[in-house]
Amino acid sequence: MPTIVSVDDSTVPGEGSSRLLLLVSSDNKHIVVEEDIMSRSRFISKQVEGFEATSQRHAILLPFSSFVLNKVIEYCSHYRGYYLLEDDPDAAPPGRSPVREWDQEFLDVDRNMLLRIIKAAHYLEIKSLVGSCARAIADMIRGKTTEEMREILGVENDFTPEEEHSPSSKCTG
Amino acid sequence: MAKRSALDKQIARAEHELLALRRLKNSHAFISRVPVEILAHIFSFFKASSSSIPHSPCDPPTWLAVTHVCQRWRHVALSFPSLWTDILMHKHWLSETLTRSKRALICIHIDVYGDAETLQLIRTVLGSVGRAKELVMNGLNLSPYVEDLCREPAPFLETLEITERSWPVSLKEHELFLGKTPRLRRLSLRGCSFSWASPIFCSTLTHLAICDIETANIPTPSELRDILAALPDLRHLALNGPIPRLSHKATMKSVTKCHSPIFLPHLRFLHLRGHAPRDLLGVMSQISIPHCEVLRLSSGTSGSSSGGSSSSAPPARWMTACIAGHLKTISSPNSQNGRNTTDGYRAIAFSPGGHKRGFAFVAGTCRQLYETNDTDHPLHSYHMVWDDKFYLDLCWEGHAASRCNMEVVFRIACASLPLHDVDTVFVDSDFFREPKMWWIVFGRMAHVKRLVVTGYAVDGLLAALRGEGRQAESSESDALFETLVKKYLPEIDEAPAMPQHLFPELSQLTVEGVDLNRLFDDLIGGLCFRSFKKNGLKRLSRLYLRSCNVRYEHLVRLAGCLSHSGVDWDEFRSGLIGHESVAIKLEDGFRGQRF
Repeated sequence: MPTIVSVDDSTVPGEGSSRLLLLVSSDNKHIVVEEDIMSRSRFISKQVEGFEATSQRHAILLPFSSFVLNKVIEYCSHYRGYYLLEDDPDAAPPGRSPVREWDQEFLDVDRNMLLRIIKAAHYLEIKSLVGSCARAIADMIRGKTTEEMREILGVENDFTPEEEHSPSSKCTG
Repeated sequence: MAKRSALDKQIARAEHELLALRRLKNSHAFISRVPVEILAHIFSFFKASSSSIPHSPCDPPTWLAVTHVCQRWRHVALSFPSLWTDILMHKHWLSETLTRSKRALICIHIDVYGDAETLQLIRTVLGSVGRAKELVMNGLNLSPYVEDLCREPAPFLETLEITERSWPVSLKEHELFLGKTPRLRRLSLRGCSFSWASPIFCSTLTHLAICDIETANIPTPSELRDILAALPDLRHLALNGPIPRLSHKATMKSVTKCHSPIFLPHLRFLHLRGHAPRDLLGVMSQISIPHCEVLRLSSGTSGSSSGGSSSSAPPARWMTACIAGHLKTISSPNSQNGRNTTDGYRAIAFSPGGHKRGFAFVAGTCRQLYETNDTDHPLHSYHMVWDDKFYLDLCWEGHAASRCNMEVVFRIACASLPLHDVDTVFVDSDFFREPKMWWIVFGRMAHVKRLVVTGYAVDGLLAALRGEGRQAESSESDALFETLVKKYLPEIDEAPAMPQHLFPELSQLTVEGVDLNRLFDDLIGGLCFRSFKKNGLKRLSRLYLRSCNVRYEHLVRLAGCLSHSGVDWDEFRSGLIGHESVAIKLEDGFRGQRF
């Protein structure tokens, strides 16, 4: 659960038509962002609904760094006002459609950053961004051998000899 | 002996420790901190993008490589049933995938070959149809399996495709899935005979495709009307063959009179193929499709009983009138992704339609454009990704495909659709051999920046640039256009003032698939001496030539001209002779150069 701290109205000037939210990253950076931009995040939307129920405004503390948070905000700003199929709760499961061109450039970051973004997107419940990151990671390992996949993602073969040859692994390729 | 045993124990201990260290290391890997549901999500994309067809039926699907990476990955892959929902029709895999998918909804794709082993597998998998979301059956002689489809309801079935490739399979005496398919959305029947009153045509359908049916199974007008009225959520309708036949004596009034049109507000794609335009008109006049994005109409004959030479025999004119009426309602871009926009289209393309006479017209927002190597189809050698596409494809034999009718539909489409911001145009249609068409269709598109012209349309463009066709005499098509505009599109300006310049902002012109020898003086000469400037192309800076024939003496003349341009001569020559594109920077080489 996120930690919520009370803020006064001078910190969050959100009485006008475009209300503002105060997001606080794990490195204690305060980022003010329009509520409309972050409406793609179901997590944030739920938080805002909670504010309206209690008629109190809060800052939202998030468990990831400002660098990652800014990337997520950049994504949400780019698609502000756009309908993205993946964010539709009734959307079909992932298909073969490629990563959007803009997303491709946006996600042209190192492996660890990509994993940080996907974790943040998952936390914030932004399905479209989770999908784009997952696609990008899937593309990273596509066509690779098992050894190459391990190398790319920094994991070791931790199977026991029995597990390698167990009946349950027989049909896993 | 004791020493060896001790060493074995030591090795086992070391291996155990090594394994523990590897697992510890894995737990610190960044990917291990990603929640399992995200990992499963990554696997599902990996699976979707991997080849689903193994090298041999015994081989596992390629995506299963992820289960060999580490323990955690294997555990995740095996514990998410959603990764196992594509049922593999092989003796090694069928029971595995059915088991691992647990209670998840499954997709069954069956190719019927007829060997005993396959038959048994099909019977087995059809036993699980109760949790099938998708069932696709394709092959020869499907009749023996129809009974298997009638044993239990399919409460979760969303997609059903039956494709019989030999004798039509009869579904008439059977009630598929006991008549219970409450979630069925997509139905495709090919090579089947069925009752038009079957409960399989349930109101939940959004996609319906029927083709290759027997003549005896063609519906009556009232049967088809009843079906369409019962499917208010249809988004995609393709009827290839099952179009009611109308009498030769039918008049437009008799065809269109009886009922108010059936409103299909969600229909985006409509493809009708019938015997004659008259029959298509019978269907088109019974429906209202204000949000249609793709309209494909094709028929085998003109349907004209007179056999006369008139270029617009009555049924063809009716059809044109009918399309005009529909275009009136389809006058704004409809976004497929649900985003409402009032923006106009950014690109349009005219190309030959179907396989015989006819044409296709595409309007949309072209997001990406890059060249491919498909030299057999010059227009398609540009890979285009379209947003907000409107596609109109008409193809008739005989009178209905007359120049007059096609021309009028072109003009109506251009007048109805929001094409004011078009910046990219592709033309691969002989209709544009006539210079008048260039002025009529493109005269008011003042913001076109890129133009790709193929074949004989280049003749028309060059003539138009010489000023021909700008004030053409009134023709039969003008009269028909005016009549239709008065009747259906009164808001359109019938006779707008002809513009002074064609493509005043064009910067890039691509000419493809022409005999440059024939057009050499017109094209290169016109550009060289800027004689076109009087009528258009004022800002042209790039000329691309693709797949053009050119004689040696012309190359020599070009060489003289290009000697000042800095263009690589060898590259240029090989480009002209081969199929690669050649770019000429006009600002460098052609200004005032005589040759």
